[in-house]
Parts: sequence; C-alpha cells; structure tokens
Amino acid sequence: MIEVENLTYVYPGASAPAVSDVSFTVERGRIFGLLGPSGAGKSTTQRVLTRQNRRFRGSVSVLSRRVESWDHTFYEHIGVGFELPNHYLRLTGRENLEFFASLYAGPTRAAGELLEAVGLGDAADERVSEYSKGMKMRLNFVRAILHDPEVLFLDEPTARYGQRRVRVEYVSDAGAVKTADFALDRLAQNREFLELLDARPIRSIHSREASLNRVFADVTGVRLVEGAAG
Amino acid sequence: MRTFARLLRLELRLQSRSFLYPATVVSTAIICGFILMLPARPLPVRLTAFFVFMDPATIGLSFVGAMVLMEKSQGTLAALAVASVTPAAYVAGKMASLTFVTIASSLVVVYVATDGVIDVASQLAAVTLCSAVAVLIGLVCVAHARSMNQLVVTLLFVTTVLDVALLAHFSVLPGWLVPAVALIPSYAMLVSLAAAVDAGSVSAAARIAAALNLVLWILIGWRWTIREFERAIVTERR
Repeated sequence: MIEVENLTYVYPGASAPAVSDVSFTVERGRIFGLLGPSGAGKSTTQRVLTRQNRRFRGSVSVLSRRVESWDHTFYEHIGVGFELPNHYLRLTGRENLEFFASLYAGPTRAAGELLEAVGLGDAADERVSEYSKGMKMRLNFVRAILHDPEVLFLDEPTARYGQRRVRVEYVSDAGAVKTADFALDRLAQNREFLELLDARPIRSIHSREASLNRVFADVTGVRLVEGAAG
Repeated sequence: MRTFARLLRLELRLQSRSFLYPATVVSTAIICGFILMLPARPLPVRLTAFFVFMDPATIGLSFVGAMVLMEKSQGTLAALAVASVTPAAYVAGKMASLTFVTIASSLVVVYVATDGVIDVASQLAAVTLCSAVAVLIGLVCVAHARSMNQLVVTLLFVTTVLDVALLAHFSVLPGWLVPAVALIPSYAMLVSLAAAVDAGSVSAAARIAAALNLVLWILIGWRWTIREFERAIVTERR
C-alpha cells in the first residue's frame, strides 16, 4: 500500500535535509504511526506521501503507484487530516463539508451524518469561527474521511488530547515487566518514550481506559473492525 | 470545469460573508457621488476612464490580496490542495468572481459619468480584460506575502508603478516617455477603458495594441500566478 525507500527531502534554501534516507513499508489494513522528536521530519514525510512536497529523492509509492505518477485523482483515494484546523471560518461546519464534498468526483458521505458522528450535529449550522479548537479538529477529521478514502493520513491526531496519558509496559534489562506513563499528546516528541521503543521489547501500550485501538477510535471517531488494526 | 464552478460558487459565498458587496456598493457610491459633484456633464472621456480604472485597480489588487491572505492564515489553501483543486482552478475562480463585481461596479460608474450613454458590450470587454490583469497582479503580490504589512508594502510599490500610467493618460509626461510607459499594463487598461467609453477617442491601432498588451499580460500573469501558487502556497512549504 505504501512503500518508501531511501526518502530524502531538502526544503528549498535549506542546508540540511528535513528527512534523510528514510525507508518503511505499510501494508493495507494497518495503522502506522510515525514517531519522532520535534523537527524529525514526520510532517514532511507525510507531505511527501500526500504529494504536497514533490522535490524529494528516493522512491515513494502509495496505493502501489509512485506518487509522482499520480495526477489530481490521487486525492480521490486518500484523505488528509492536518495538524491544525484549517477551515473557512465564515462558513458553517455543514457548508465547509458540503463544499469539500462537492470537489470529489466519487460518492461522498452526508455532511449531517458525519457531523452527528463526531458530536457536531448541534453545531452543524454555526459558523466555524464560533467553534472551539476541539470542534475544529473533529471537523478536520470528518473532512478527511468525507469520500471514504482508501488511505487516511493524520498529522498529530492525538494533539487535542491534552494531558491524557498512556501506560507503556516493557521488559527491563533484568527481564522484569515495568511500566512507564507518558502524555498522549507528547508521545511523538518524547525522547524517553522513543528510546524505549528503540531499545526494549514493548509488551503493550495502553491508554488509561483501553487499548490503542480504543485510543484511535476515541481520537478519530472511527470504530475499527476487529483485526484491522496493526 | 465542475471544480471551477464549485470554486466560483464558494468565492461568491465567501465574498458575500466578507462584506465585499456592501463595501463595493459604498466605494462605487462614493465615486459616483464625486462624479456628480463635478461641474462637467457628461464627464470627459479620459476622466471617466480614470474613475472606472480605480475600480479594477482597487478590487483586483487590494481585495484579492486581502482575501487570499485571509485564506492563507486559515490554512484553507492546503486543504484545497489535498482535495484535487489545482492552482489553475483556484485562480480562475478568483478571477471570475472578482470580475463580476468589477463589471457591475464599472457599469454603474460609466452610466453616471456619461449620463446614461453607454456601450455595454465594449464596456464589458474592456473591464473584463482590465479586471483579469488586476486580479492576477494582486495574486502574484499576495503569493509570497506572509503578513498584511508585507502585502501592504508590496501593493504600495506595485500601485505606484501602475499609477505612472496616469501621467501619460492625462498627457503630463513628455511624448518621448509615453512608449516606455505604454508597456505598463495600467496604460493599456486606461486606453481600453477610454475606448469603451468613446470609441472615437482612441485610434483603432492604439485600441488593438492596448487589447493585445492586456491579453499578453494576462497570459504572462496567468503562468506567473500559477507558478507562484504552486511554489509558495500549495507545495514546498514547511
């Protein structure tokens, strides 16, 4: 589904690459998280995968086709959720969704139904300028899945989760099972957590309530079919 | 074409909610009020062309600049880019929507200035060309602007250059300088607008040259704008 080989990206005018020699593969049906400290190139990698940054070196394929060979129909197949809310503030939530839905050639989900699904039903006809940041992020998410994309890219999807924490169980050098708590919205920036991922066999990562699948479902509003998640 | 129609509808809705239409009504009313206070009736052709010129210049440069800057600050351009919207469709939507406004406003100004003697077809053709050029210049100006201050400084510089054509239009410049000034698109705009008010006021050759000049600027401006938007807004940004 996604194949990245030796991806290197240098922003115009920059002396050092933002992404250097990155390779990974994601199979269909998997949830793949890209973690790293601030400035590691996570967003840049996503921008390359979504054809927003195109002057890269290496090989990048999405949906079994090299990204440079896709035309604008690429976006009929993928959905992109941005790190920060980006809506037409003078339009209502429903008008925003209906406008973006009208840009797709294929069928799209009903705006009202999506807004209801993420708890924005009552605010559907309010201008987005009146929305809280959390409401805008939920609108961001449903806009990304309007057209039932085959691949969904989400940038910092846990960012709106504030101080909620996840508990990581890992095996220590002595072989004992230990736990450590991390703030959910800082996982990708947390060096200690990343070193843990690098160095130790991770037994499990839990949110306080349930599994990562549950966290994903909470964040995105999408309930995963059993076995679909990685 | 379908995407263009959707974007045009969006633009009209956004312009409506951004109070562009009331603002245009007010600015047009002020210009008309000023014209009505002038003693000469009907207004001389060059002066009428000047007043109509103020509309494309104002709406095309300033309004498009402000509106795009607002969209940049809201991040909606990136959202459009990942929803199959090409820079060409986006720019075409902006040009078409603002041209409608400019045409409506200019027809009113010409009607008042000429006491109702108006060649609608010529006026439409001239204003459409002028508005397209002005909107494209505004889009190029705003493509790299990161703040309102930066946009204002850029627009001040650009409008100063464009306004040099007014010196030639009102015969203030020495004759030997006019050919150089004629390269500036605003000179061709003024000639076209004057010809639309009174075909006899401009020679056929000057009229054709002005139209060709504007078409050339539209072609250059179109390519330039698309390139700037692809580079500065849609792609390759951090």
